[in-house]
Order: sequence, then structure tokens, then C-alpha cells
Amino acid sequence: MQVFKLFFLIARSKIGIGILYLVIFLAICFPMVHSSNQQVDFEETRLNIHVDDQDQSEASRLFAEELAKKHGIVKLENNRETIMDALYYQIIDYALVINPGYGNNLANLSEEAAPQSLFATFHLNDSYKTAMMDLYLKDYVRNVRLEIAMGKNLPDAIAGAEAMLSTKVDVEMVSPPEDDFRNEGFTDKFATFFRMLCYVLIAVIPNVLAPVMLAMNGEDQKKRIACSRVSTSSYLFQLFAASAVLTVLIWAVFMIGGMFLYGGIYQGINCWLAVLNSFVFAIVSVMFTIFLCSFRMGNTAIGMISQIVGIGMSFLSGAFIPQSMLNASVLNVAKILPGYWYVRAVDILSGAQEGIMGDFWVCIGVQAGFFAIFLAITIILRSHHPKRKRVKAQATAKA
Amino acid sequence: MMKYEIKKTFRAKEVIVWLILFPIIMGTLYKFTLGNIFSGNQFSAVRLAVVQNTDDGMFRNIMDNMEKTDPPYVKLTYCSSEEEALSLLYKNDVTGVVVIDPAPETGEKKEDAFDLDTVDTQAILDQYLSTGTVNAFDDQGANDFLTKYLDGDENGYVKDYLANFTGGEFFPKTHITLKLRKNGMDETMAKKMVMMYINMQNQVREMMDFTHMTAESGDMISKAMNGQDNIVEPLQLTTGNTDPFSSYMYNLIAMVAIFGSLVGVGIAQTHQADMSPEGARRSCSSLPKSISILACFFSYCISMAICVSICITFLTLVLGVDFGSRLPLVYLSGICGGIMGVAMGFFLGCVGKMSPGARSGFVMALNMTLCFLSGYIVMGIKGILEHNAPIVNDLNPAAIICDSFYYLNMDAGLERFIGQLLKMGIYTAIFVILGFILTRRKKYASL
Repeated sequence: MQVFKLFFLIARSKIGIGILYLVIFLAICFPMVHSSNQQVDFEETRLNIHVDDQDQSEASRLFAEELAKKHGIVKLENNRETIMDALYYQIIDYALVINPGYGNNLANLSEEAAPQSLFATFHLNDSYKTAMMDLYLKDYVRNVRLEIAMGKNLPDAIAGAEAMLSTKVDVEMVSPPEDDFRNEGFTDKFATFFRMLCYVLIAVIPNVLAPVMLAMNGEDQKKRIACSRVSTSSYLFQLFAASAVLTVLIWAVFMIGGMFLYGGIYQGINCWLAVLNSFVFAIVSVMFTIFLCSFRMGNTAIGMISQIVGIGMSFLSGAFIPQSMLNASVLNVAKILPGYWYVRAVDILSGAQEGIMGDFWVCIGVQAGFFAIFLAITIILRSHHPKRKRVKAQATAKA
Repeated sequence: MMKYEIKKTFRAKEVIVWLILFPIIMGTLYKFTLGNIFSGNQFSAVRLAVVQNTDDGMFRNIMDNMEKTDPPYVKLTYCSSEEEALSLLYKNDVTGVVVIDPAPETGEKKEDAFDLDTVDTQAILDQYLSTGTVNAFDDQGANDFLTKYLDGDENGYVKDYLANFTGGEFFPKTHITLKLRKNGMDETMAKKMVMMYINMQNQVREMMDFTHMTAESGDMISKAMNGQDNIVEPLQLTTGNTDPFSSYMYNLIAMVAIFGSLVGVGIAQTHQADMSPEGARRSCSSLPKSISILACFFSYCISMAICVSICITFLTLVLGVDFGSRLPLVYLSGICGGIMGVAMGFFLGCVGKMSPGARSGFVMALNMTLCFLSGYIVMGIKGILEHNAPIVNDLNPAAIICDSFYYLNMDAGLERFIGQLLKMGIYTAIFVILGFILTRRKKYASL
């Protein structure tokens, strides 16, 4: 067990970076996953809206109250810079100004009042959110004015319009028959945790494992082990066992962290399939690390490469931005990366992407294929290493 | 000495990779993956499959008109069966399925002004379309009301409906079900569309219940139904580039600038005798340490200015990123950020005792954290912090650099931009002063 112990002795000094990643990662995921909900009923998207009531009339107050029932109201300072910053950094989705004279103009259906706008809006880009709000404002005003046209006074007209706009729509959530295996335990929001693991595993595992492996491959360690009673086969066995244990430990820590975010033991088969998927990806990450170590690079170089590969692959694979938002050419390129198949499997399980159980296993299979490719290349690289060739050549010459 | 230090900087592989190659690779990747992504967030028609199990022509008429708006609100696919519509939904060809069934009989009967169940609606329509007036009711007010309403300038969809009306119930009572697969913005829009239609249906029914009809009220109702085009006035906030994609590019430059700390750490390492052989040699040289440190600091600043300039030039000229009309100030801001990064590295290099490898790992982790918090990986993180803990954004050097680019692009004036430059200056001064304090007057009994 000497090699095994030595491995963990070295690993202990490198574990700081792993803990750092874990803490940061869980801290980031917490707000994203905390609001995870069961997707049994349809939930309307609520917008964050800043309302500047410049009319301060009864009508504008009632409108603001009605708006607050349907959307989140964010209070901001009424200056353009604050509103612009809030829109740009997505603190609010829409900034609405209720124009002075709103109360009077709302009830006025005369020709003179027609060109006067009731609201002013600030938004940086046209989006679904702005289209939805515009539609809502028009619907609200139409309903109030219709009630007024039919002889009601303004307060009654507003009450009537609010009643009309509270119309219930019969919404039914459906899923394909082949999705019968899907359960409600693995929501799209919680899937964020597993998607982000794509970056974290590929960034953490090489950063923790590679320094240990490089140190183990160092001349000093090698010579010490060579003159000990440990046989080569025992050395290799202990080295692989230690690597496997360390990887499983890192992976298990993330899985346990995930349970904290989930709020207990994972429920349902889909969660456990996602756990399996992450384990397979962790194994691919380990093989990638061993592959990198075959090039006999330094710690810094491996750190750099793992960061570049981690961030690059995560962007291309849809770990940070949903695959559904990436264009086809990007996704075609991403297919040559294991991260793409990992994220796709998570998406299939969460229902974010079309797919059945068979597709999920295809994703697992492709990741296993990447493992095999890395393994094959690593074996080829190690068997043709220039240093080994030189040693062999020297031995032949001596003989 | 400065020339030697600059040469030494560009011989370091880390500098070449992190400060020159990494931003080029990441910039290209950002452009490739995110370049068009935010245009996809712009509103496009909500795709709905419709299964109509009644002869309600009103839905088709109103929705057809919404399909013809610019930009269109909906795109409809009419299906003959629910199975066909659901298969489109499962293939993600549509966002939702609208099923229109006859409303279940309640047994209630309301006294409508027009009594739709007894009036020969076909005769009314034929009369209106041929003579332009309605004379079907005993009450002249009701005749005038309907004529005036149908005459409304913008009642195109009603006229279309009337023209295509082929008999049967005038406004049949229906029950609409919307079938969706998931939650989301598209799905919410689909629900709003259906809700709007049900509202319009209810409004028409309410109108029919309205018993005090005159020609004037018909005109008012027509205006109320159609006169909402001007109620919302969009105001422009900025003339700058509002594409959220720019935020990633600001972060990329900020990352290069902050990574200057990896270079800056070298100042401390090469000036402390217990940290490197170079430090030991310098400690016993006749050159005052302060001059040597300053020379080293300025040479690293020049190196950083070159790296940041290469990055900005690549992003602007090769990738075509729009930083607004004040490009020279973008360079100035990036270079100031780079100098702040070097100063930060100088300070971090002097704090505590660590091996060079551990220190560079610590600085790297700190840099990545700062960059992450400024939105380098997840754009929304900066907004979340701004809302919940604005102090983090105010203090985060990477966020300060990002904000300087943002203000330069979005603001008409330079006040906030200058504020960010001052913050960078203050940070640089503090880091350099603390670095000098921590490196001075150190004596070693043994090395």
C-alpha cells in the first residue's frame, strides 16, 4: 500500500484547488437550482418590471396593483442610467412609465385623445418579454375602454377589465407516450447543476489528478519506488486504484453537494440516470487527464489546457447556454466533443430536448467511445515515447 | 533593465498562452457560439397547432389577422385530429396545441340584446354586405349600433368573419384547451394568445348583452376595440451597442487585464531573496530595491499594454466586435486594467509565504473567481450580484474593467467611465504601496 499512500500524500497537498472549485460551484448553483419546481402545472413566466407612475391617479394606482399580481415589481431609482444598467444586466425585463394624464386619457375615447400615448417604455432589445408586455398593455386598455364604451364609470370599468383579464385558460401539460419512464423528480432547473458539472469535472479532475500523477512520474519518486520491494505490477495496480479512488471521491463530493441543492436523496430514476451520466463523464475526464499527462507537460501547462478545453467545450456543448439556442453548425462541431453527449443526455432526462431512453443510452455509449479513444491514443503515445525509444536503443547498443 | 524584463516576459510560455493565445481562442469561440445567439431571443411568431372540433370561425378569423401583423404574433397549423397536432408538438414543430371543443351545455339561457339563438344571422349578414346597413331588429338603436360597429375602420377581422360566415351559430360557445409540453417564454406567449382570444370572445358576448345600444356607443365600442396602436411609446435609452453578446467580450478583455497579475507576481518573486535565486542576487546588488521594483513594474506594465492591445485589436478588427465609437478610450481602459492587474499581482506575490507553484495556483484561482463574478462564464451573475450584493461588483477589479467598457459604449457622457478609471487608479496605487511596504527592509539570516 506504499504507492497508494504516497499518492494520497501528494494528493492532499493539491486538494485545495478541488475544494475551491467545489465551494464556488455549489455557491453558483444554489440560487439557480433552489427555485426548482415540479412541472405538474403550467407556470406562467413572470417578468421583472420597473414601474414609474408619473400620473399618481386612482386609475394608475389600480393598474400598478393589477400589474403586481401578474409580474414582479422591482423598485429602482427613476433615472435613465439606473434603468439602462438594470435592463442590460437583466435585473429587470421591462421598464414602464405611466404617463401623466393616464387616468384621463384612459377614459377618453375622443379623436383628440387617440394619438396620446398612455405609457412609455424602456427596453434595450426587442424580445419575447417586450412583445408580451406590449400585448398585455393593449389588452388591458382595450378591456377598460370597452367597459367605458358600454357605459360604466372608470373604477367599474377597471374592475370589469381586471375580471376579464383574469380569464382562466385551460392548460394541460402533455408528454410523449414514450416518455413514460420520465418522472417529475428531475426538473430542467435542477438539470442546471448537472449541465455545469461538464465544466467543473473537466476543470477540477485534471487540476487535482495531473499534479499527483506528474509527481508520481517524477524521477525522484520513480527511483525511490524502483529500489523498494514494490513490484511493477503492484505499483501500477496501486496507482490505478488510487487514481480511481480519488476520482470517485471528487465525483462523490459533487454528487453529495448536489443532494444538498436538491433537498435530500435524489428521487426517481431520472436523477439516478443523471448521476450515472456524470460518473461516465468523470471517467472520461480522468482518461483525458491521463492522456494529457502522456505528453509530459508541466502542471501549469496541464492547468492551462484543462481550463481552455473546459471552458471551450462547455460553451460549444451547451453547458452554459442551452443546446437549443446554439445554431446547427456549432452543434455539428460540438458532436466531436464528449461534453456535447454529456449535456445532451442531461437534456433528454430533464425533457429540455427531444429524446427517448434509447437516445440517452446512445449518449452514454458515445462517451464510453471517447474514453476508449483517449485510452487507445494514450497507449500508443506511451508505447512510442521518445525517451523510452532512446533507452531501448541504448540497451540494444550495450548488448 | 526594463528592456531585459520586457524580453523576459514575452519569453514566458504562460504569458504567451494566457495573455495572447487564450483570449484569441476564447474570443473566436465566443463569436462562433454566441455571435448570433441573442438575435434568437428576439420575438418570433408563436407556433400553434389548432384542432377545431366546432364550426367557430371567429378563432380562425382573429388569429389569421394576428398572423398577418408585422411582425406576426402567431403561426398557425390547422390539424384534422388531436393526434396529428400532438405529434407536431412532440417533434417541437409547434409550441402548443389549441383544441377548440363545443362548450358543455349549462342549461342557462341569457337574454341577449340580439338574442343570437333566434335571430337569423345569415340574413343580417347578407343584408349588411349588400346594403351596408342592418335593419333586422325592431329596436332602431340596435340596428344603428351593429351597423356603426361593423362600419368601424379597423374592424377588418369582423368583416372577414362576416364575409366567410357560412351559416350555423353566429358566436358558438366553445371550450378551448391549450396543450403544452413545458414551461417557458414561448409557452407563456401561447397562453397569452389563447387568453386574448377568449377575452375577445367574452367581450363580443358582453357587447351582445349590452342593452343600451345607440349609434354612438357602437362607434365608441369600435374605437375601444381597435384604437390601441399608439398607447405605448418606446423611448430610446442609448445609441450604443445593446447586444448582450458584447458583455462576453468586455469580460474577455477584463480577464486578460486581470491575468496581468500572473505577470505581476514575478515582481515580488524576483525581488525577495527567499523566493528565488534571482531575488537573492538582486538583494545583494548595489541597485536600490525600490528602483529595481519600479523598473520591473513599468516593464511589466508595458508588456501588459501590448497584450491587451493585441486582444482588443483582434476582437475589433478580426472578429468585428462593436465597442462603440470611442475605440481609443477602449484601449486606454484596457491598458489601465492591465496595469491594475500587474499591481494586484505584485501585491499578491508579497503576501504570506508560499511556493511559486502554490502562489501561481492561488492567483489563478482568484483571477478565475473574479472573472466569473463579473460574468465571464454566466452573464447573469453580475446582475444577480448587482441586485443582492452590489458591493461585490463595486470592489471586484474585473467588474470595474467590464463596467468601464460598458459605460464607454452605452453612456453619452464620460462621467461614469472616468469614475471607473479613477477606481482602477486607486486600486493600482493601493496595491503598489502595499507591495512596497511588504517587500521593504527584509533581512535573511539564512537562505
